[in-house]
Amino acid sequence: MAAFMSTQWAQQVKAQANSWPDAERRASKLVDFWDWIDMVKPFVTGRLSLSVRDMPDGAEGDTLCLEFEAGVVTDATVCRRAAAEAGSAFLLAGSYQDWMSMLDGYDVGKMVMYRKLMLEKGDTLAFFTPAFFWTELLAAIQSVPAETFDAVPA
Amino acid sequence: MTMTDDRIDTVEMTDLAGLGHTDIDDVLDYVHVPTAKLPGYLDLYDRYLRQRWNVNDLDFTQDRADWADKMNDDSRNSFLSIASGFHHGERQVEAELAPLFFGIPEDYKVFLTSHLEDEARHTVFFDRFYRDVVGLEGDGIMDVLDGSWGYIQETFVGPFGLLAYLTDDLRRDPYNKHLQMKYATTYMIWIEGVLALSVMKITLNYARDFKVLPAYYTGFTATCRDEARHVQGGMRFVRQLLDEDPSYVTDIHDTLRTLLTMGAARSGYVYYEPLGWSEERVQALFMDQLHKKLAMVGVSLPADLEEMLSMVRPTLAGG
Ligand SMILES: [Fe+2]
Ligand SMILES: [Fe+2]
Repeated sequence: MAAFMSTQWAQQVKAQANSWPDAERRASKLVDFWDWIDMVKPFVTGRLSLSVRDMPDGAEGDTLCLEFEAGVVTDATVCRRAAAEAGSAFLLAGSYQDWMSMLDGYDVGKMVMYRKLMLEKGDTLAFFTPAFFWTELLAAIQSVPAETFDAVPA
Repeated sequence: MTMTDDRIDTVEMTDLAGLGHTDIDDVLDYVHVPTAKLPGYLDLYDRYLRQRWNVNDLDFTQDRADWADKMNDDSRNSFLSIASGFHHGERQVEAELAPLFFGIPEDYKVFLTSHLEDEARHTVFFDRFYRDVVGLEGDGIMDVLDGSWGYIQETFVGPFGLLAYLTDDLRRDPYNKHLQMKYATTYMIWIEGVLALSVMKITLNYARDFKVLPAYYTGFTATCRDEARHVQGGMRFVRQLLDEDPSYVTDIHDTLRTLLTMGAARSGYVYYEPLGWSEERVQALFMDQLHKKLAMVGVSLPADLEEMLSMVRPTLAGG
């Protein structure tokens, strides 16, 4: 299993996001919903960074950088937030603990609605226009198994 | 339709018990007044002091019996898929209101304290309904909310997630009037003015027509009367911002563009039929409610937004 916030994990996230949804997920929602996702996809271009504010020591980085081209992830890397932020259209950040509960299955809609992830860079209206594209992306990330760090930083 | 003065008086003066016998359609009409007649913030505060109700005066004993005996699985399920949008919606509009307080006019601050108290009471009203009638259990407000989350449409997180993130923007920059306008468009025009006032009608008409859930009918009709004050206060604020600088209308349109794009998505079917409704009827209500709110502030929709509005799938929620 790849470690959370490792290059290998980022590559698995990329593959998962680009093949999302699987048959089971697709069947759980109306065709209309996936049509809507296809409608907004062409407008999703640029970098989304997903960051952990208090990443425990030992990880490759604290931020997952996803480069999008019309809704397709073309590159996925792990780096330091300082390096990722300037070139990002949007940056979402949350605590290590909240990231862990998401990887553990916490509802991705609640991750947004309860601001477990906050938009720390980017225009809010532009971010929400393809809102469900992002919640599906979070669900794809959530479904990639990851080895996590035991030590929750003080 | 314009309301006669005696119908306005009835809605305006009735106490909690009386609201149990007031027609919900009269209360919904009561929201809409022309721009020139929008009440002042302190008048709305005065109205709050007279119309305030005690959520603990409601007795849900008969509702619990109706829920078990007079309703069936279909009607209970349809009811929950709509009421849960309010259960969560009321909590969201309660928890997300505070940052607006800093940058608004002095008199609006006084009224906003009452708006916040109303939303807390609406949250408790649904908490009581889910505990005493539906039978959910939990240690606190969030526990019971978690219990009804499964009934929420996935698209709920569109408008309410946007509100949560705009709240955070406003917390960081509370005097920014563009942000205030985007926030008021999401909160007072769309969530309260369109979603809540359209969707409220469904469960309330059902309770009225099928003669069930009397405490729910009473409390939620009182909630609707409270919403009339929130929407009128919000429309006054929007009007005031537009008077200062008419170019803020761009913020209204931009926000609606995002809301209407999200509003075209739906992830699952909602069966309205057991409650005597259809999706087309709800959709028509949405369009009508948005036009009425915009008329209250003297704003029209560009053609692309009119077209998007006609494609909106109802989000079953409100605050
Ligand atoms: Fe309200
Ligand atoms: Fe409310």
